[in-house]
Amino acid sequence: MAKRGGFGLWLGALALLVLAGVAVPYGVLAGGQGWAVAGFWGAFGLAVIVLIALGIRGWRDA
Amino acid sequence: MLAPTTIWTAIAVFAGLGLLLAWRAARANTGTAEDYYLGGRAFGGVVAGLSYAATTYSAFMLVVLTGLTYRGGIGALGFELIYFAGLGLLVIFAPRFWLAARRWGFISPAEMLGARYGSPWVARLAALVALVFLMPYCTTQMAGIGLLLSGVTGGEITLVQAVATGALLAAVWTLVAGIRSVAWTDAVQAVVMLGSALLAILFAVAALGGWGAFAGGVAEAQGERLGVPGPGLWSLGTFVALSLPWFFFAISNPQVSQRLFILKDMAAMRRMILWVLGFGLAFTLIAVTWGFAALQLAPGLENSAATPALLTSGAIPAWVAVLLVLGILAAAVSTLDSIALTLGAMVARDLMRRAQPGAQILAGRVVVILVVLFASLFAVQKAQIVDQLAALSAAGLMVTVPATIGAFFWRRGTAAGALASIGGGAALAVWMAMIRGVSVFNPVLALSVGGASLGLFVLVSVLTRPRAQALDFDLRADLDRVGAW
Repeated sequence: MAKRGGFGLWLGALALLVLAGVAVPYGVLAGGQGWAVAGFWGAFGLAVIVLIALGIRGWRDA
Repeated sequence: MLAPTTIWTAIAVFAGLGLLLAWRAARANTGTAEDYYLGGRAFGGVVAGLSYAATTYSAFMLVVLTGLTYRGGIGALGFELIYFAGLGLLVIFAPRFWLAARRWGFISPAEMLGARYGSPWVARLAALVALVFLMPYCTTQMAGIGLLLSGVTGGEITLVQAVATGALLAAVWTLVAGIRSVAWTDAVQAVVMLGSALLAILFAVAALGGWGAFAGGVAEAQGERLGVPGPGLWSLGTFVALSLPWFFFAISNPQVSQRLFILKDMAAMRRMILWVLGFGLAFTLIAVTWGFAALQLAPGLENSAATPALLTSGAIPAWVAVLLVLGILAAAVSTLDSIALTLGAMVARDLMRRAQPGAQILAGRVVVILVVLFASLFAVQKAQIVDQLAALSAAGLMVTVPATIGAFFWRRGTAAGALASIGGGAALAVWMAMIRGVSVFNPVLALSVGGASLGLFVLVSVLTRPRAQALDFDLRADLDRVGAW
């Protein structure tokens, strides 16, 4: 069975996403009082779902 | 306040339904340890997903996370979502755990580590660390039940009565049919948790004048809480201190990683993960919204009392409040019984390796009773040492992460390295938190424990040699066969 590719790219995307989940609210959006931080973290949660769904997309039963 | 009679009636109906499910589940059991602890590795994705969700999302969500939002604002959402992002580790580790467990017949995650490194002492130490840090965590679930039931009835349901109720439900649902009764009742409880929380938040927001008025009210009166660090709780240091250990929850906490052993195939595994993701994001958003709603409907409270105060504020109809009380009770019981069963499996398999299957099931049942009794007694006594260990549980259990990652990705990892990493890391966590008084809100604790655990694993492994009986987890061909990385 052929080896599935793209792991490095996926792992890098997860690392970047987690880093952004901390750096953006505490950097770019720090000190703000609107709904921007909540909106960012809401989008972050959806991005996590999309990324994990992409990661498990190729799973199959032999 | 809610009438105690109404609460007791609702709990009785809930318990009756759970008993029926548990009794039905018991009919499927075959009497082997594998069947009792893993349901014959034949679970489908929906039940496993709901059970995983109910296990991982405990009373913490609608009691503590709501309180953290109430006290510190939106940082609570980010902290919980970093944990949520940690579910990405399942993409890497879920197929490996599942394939290894099927090939070598592992029942507990500690047993898997012991076999990989060729040392029963690795398994015993991993089981011991789980006992030390998870039993106090069970106590907090019990305390959550007590706080809630006494809070919503104005103390008419006492702490002892509330704790006894939680203990009875958790013990019976675990003892009757092991993982089958736990998973089936978990699945129903997950539906109750999410459904009741969703209903409650809809009524709370409606009482505030709808979503627009709610959002406007928060921005106007609680604007500082919409940013980080907010009023002060969510400094970057605190955020990192809490988020780092929780990010690894999916592979460090045996009560959830053991769920990866119970699935019948990869399609079920995929479905389970998708259910957990959907449930997790929805439940997180609800818990945080609940905290912000409490700030407007019941301002000026101690944060731990936010949920009882909101439930009795008059904004939530009594029947919805009762349903949510059941939902939070369900969240606590489903976490408690899963932890008790996993600890039972670890003691039976890792500390009594040579016992017969019947004896291993009996030992597990005794452990379940002891865990529930321990949690109940200490919840009533409110022992400070137990509270400290419970707060330390996420950082404490993180010490198994280097050995777990090394099991699959570093052949040079040795039993001595795993023992040093788990033992040294756990000892450092206890010493820093309980003797030196370093708070779990201080990032130095999580970074030191994680760093020491990783450093010891690598250093001692390099200085020692793998044991001859260590298993080689070379799963590449199997991983390619199932399309996993």
